[in-house]
This record gives sequence, C-alpha cells and structure tokens, in this order.
Amino acid sequence: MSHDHHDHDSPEYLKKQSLLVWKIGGWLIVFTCLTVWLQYVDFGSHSRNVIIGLLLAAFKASLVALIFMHLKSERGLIYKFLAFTVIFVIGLFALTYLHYVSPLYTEGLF
Amino acid sequence: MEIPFTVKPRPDTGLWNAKVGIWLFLASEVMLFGGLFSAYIFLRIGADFPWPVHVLKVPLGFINTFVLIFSSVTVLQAWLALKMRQYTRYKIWMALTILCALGFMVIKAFEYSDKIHHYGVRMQDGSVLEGHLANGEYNVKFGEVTTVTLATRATSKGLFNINLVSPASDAGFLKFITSGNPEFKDTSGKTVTLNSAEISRLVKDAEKNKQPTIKLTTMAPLKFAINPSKIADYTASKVIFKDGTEIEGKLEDDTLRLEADMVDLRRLFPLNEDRIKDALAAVQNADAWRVLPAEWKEKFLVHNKKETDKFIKKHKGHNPMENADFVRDAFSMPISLHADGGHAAEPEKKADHKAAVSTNHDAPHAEEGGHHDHPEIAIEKKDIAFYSNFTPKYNNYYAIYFALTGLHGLHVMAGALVLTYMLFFGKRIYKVNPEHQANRVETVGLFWHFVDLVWIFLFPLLYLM
Repeated sequence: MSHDHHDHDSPEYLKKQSLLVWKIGGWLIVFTCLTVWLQYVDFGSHSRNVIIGLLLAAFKASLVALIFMHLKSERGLIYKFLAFTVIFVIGLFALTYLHYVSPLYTEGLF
Repeated sequence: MEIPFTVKPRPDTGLWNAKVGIWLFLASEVMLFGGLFSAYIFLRIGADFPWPVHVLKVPLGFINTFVLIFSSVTVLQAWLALKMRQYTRYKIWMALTILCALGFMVIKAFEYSDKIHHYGVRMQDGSVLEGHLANGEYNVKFGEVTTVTLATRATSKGLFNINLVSPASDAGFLKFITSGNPEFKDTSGKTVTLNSAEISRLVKDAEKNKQPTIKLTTMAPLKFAINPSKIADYTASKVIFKDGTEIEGKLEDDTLRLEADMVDLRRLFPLNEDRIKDALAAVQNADAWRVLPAEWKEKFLVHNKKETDKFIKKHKGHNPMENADFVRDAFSMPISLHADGGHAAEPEKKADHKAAVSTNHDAPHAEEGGHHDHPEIAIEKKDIAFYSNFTPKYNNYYAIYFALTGLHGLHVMAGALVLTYMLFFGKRIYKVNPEHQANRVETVGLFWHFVDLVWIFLFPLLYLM
C-alpha cells in the first residue's frame, strides 16, 4: 500500500480490494483442494508428486505474498530486504546439499 | 513524545517505520523457517528407512489450512474496514480472525493428543507394530516384594574430580504399590510406615551418618505395577528405579499389550531385495509376524498378493521391489476388525471380516472400554527393541514434525495475542488518528499472512507427501 496515491484510499478502491481479497482466498482454497487431490494421483513415481505439490505450494505462497502482503505494489526498500533474505535462505539450503556432494558420501562411506 | 512516522512515510525509506520493522522481522523469520525446512530436506533425503508418508490425518490438516486462509482474508477485511472508518465492522472481522486462530490451535491440540496416545513397537529384528496400549497403559508387574532399599544422595568423584551427586529416593515408587500397605521394619527392628515426609526424613538422617542405603523389610509382601519410564533397570528378581530405590521380589508380568492397528514389515529386507518371494519369506520369520494372530497372517498374504498383482498389471516389466511405494503398500498393512481404516479394505470384504472375527475377538473385548476394532496383541519384553508413542523420540519424522508445527503453533499463538490486543486496545489510537490504527493492523496482518504462508508449505510437506 503506498500512500502517495490518494485514490488508494478512496471507498471505491477499498471495496474493490475487499472483493479481490475474497477472490484470492477462494483461489487459495481451490488450489489447496487441488494439492490434496494431486497427491493421490499416480504420476509414476512419488518424487513427481512431491515436485507438483511443492510447485503448487510455491504458487499459493506467492499469491499470499503478492496480494495479501501487498508485495506487488511495495516500495523498493522491501525488495532489497527480501533479496538479501533469499540469498541467505539459498545459502542455508546449499549447506544441506553440500553433505550430499561430499566425496565420503558419494563413495558410499556415509 | 509522539512516535514519528507512524502514518507519514519517512523521507529516506519512503515507508512508515513499522512497515520497515515488520519486514525486517519477517526476513529473519524466513531464514528461521528456511533453516528448519532445510533440516527437513536433510533428514528426509538422508533417511535410511522409508520416510513415513500419509501418517497424519489429512482432513484435519486440510481444515486447518482452510481456517488459516480464511483468517488471512478476515484480517484483511478488518484492515479495509478501518480504512473505510467502519469501526464496528473492524471489530467483527478482527474477532473472527482471533476465533480462527483459536480454532487452529484446538485442532492442533487434538492432533498432538492423537500422536501422544498412539504407540509404535519396534521388535528386535526391526519389524514394527503400531497401535494403542491396552487400557491406555503399560506396566511392569512385580510381586512378592519383601525388601525395599532406599538410596541416599551419595556423592562420588567423577571426571576432573567433579562431585557427581546421584539422586536420592523419593516417594515416587509408593504410588506403584497395587496391593499391601507400605509398612516396613528397618534393620534395628523398628516399624516404619513410609510416606513422602518419612522417606525424606530417613534419607536426611542416613546422609548425616554417611550411610549410603536404608534397607527395609516389608511386614507383608507387596505388589507393584510400575510405569517403565520410572525404571532404570530390572531383572527377574529386582527393580532399580531411576531415583536409586531398589525393590526385591519376583517379576510377574512385563508383557506389552497392544491394540494393534498396523503391522509394518519393511525393515526385514533391503529395499532393493530382488524377488518378492525372498522378501515374503523373510517377512514370515519376523518377530512381529510371530505375534500376529493367524487370521491376520492370512490377511497379510492376501493383501500382499493383491498389491503385487495390482502393481504388475499397471507397470509391466518393472521390478516392484525397486518401487518404495509398492514396498510400503505390500509389506505393511492396517489392522482393523471393522476394516474401515486402511487401503486394504474393500466393500465386499467387510462382511466376512466381521463374521470371521466376531467369534474370536468381539466377545473378550466387549466388556473392555476403548478400541474395540483392533485385536489385542501380547508382546514379550524380550522381543521389544524400542517402543514409544509418536513423539520426537520415535523417529526423525516426528522430531521434525513436532519441531516445525510446534514453532508454527507458537507463531499462531503470538499472532492471536497481538490481534487480541489490537481488537480491545485499539480504540484510543483510532480516535486520535484512524490511519495510525489501520497501519498497526496492517503490520499485524503482515505477520499473520506470513504464518499462513509457512503453513501453506507445512501442510503438503508433513501431511501429503
């Protein structure tokens, strides 16, 4: 929500927002149902189910972040914070991955 | 003093201050949960045993997802109501949001309690039986107890000459006496009746005299039924409690009685075991197989055959034993007399399940309360390698499940507290500057959406995949 545009506080705009929030909430429920259903569909291997589930979760999460948390119309500073966060989170996940490329692991010792 | 930039944007950031603050906080939260999700992946790919899949109740997790999404919508409606200067509507939406938070926690509490009362027993060879303890408890029964030896708080020198203090006897063991009175004779022939005060007096006196133990003889033999979590070790003639108290008598019964709802024989063979026949042979030597009632052995073989045929029909030319899903479905089986619980159940089977079983099982179970629809299986202590309820110590799955959902639950509670504060203590600020109150609610809302966002990942990761 930026406050320099005055029309963002107009009653018509707020009413539209209220409707949008309900719509997105509905879509989130729909996608949750889809997630549950697709986990019981046989795609040949369980890892495909996992990937599909995670993609759907990521999509739902971005709906929440972009619309519910207003990230789609946020100031640059917040994006800068989040860019750093993403770097650190990737770092955290990479640390996990390092274990699996260690020579001891690949040679079957661990 | 007035707090600056509650409504007006600060020139250098272009934002009011609380928004900068909450986003910095959320950034740290992303890294906190990111680290835990990373741990989840680490545990899951590194697991040397198939990761438990679909062990939680999906409908409950689904309802909670619905509740959180709905509450995310209501908190936004509350904020928009403030923006439109409709305070009553704001209060209604806010109250709904808080109710959702409470609803989430109530459902979570049911789920946790379900896990706490559900047990898994891993036999010496790795086969597993799951279910509820008969009558909700497992006790080691000891009879003909004639001596009780109380321990004092003895000190000894440990590594680096540090004083190690062992615990002294407390009155805890008294509550396990099932028959007889705690009346004893001490070594001098004096009569003592033990209770909490008497024990602490005896222990203190003995400590003063540097006497390590107090030996007491019972006036009449006692019977005990002891909770295993209080036992340090026991033999056929002696129990040592964790507080150091020893009792001597005769072991009467340490059989664990489980109302079994699942048998899992997957640990009996490596996953890449080539032939189903070999795996099936291995399974029929399992410890869990031995204690399984004959009718369930038959059902297991039928179940295995059915799953095998299904797999072969679907995936011609593939080795089913290389497929973890197949191995799970074919080598573990839900056990339910009413055949309503598991994927083994088929409509036409239901009828003969009941008919076959009613003669053997329904009758003895009829007078007991509780889980009528699961057969009671007696498991000897010597066959048990490990047993536990489904808490973090049971396996890595429950460890990370409780860590993730517990931390998330704390966030829900924290969110609910702040939302409640905003609902009941927001009027004053609203009257001075309604936009300030709207911004405060937006800030809480951002946190609340983040809690929702974390759950969006937790639900599929823990319940579905």
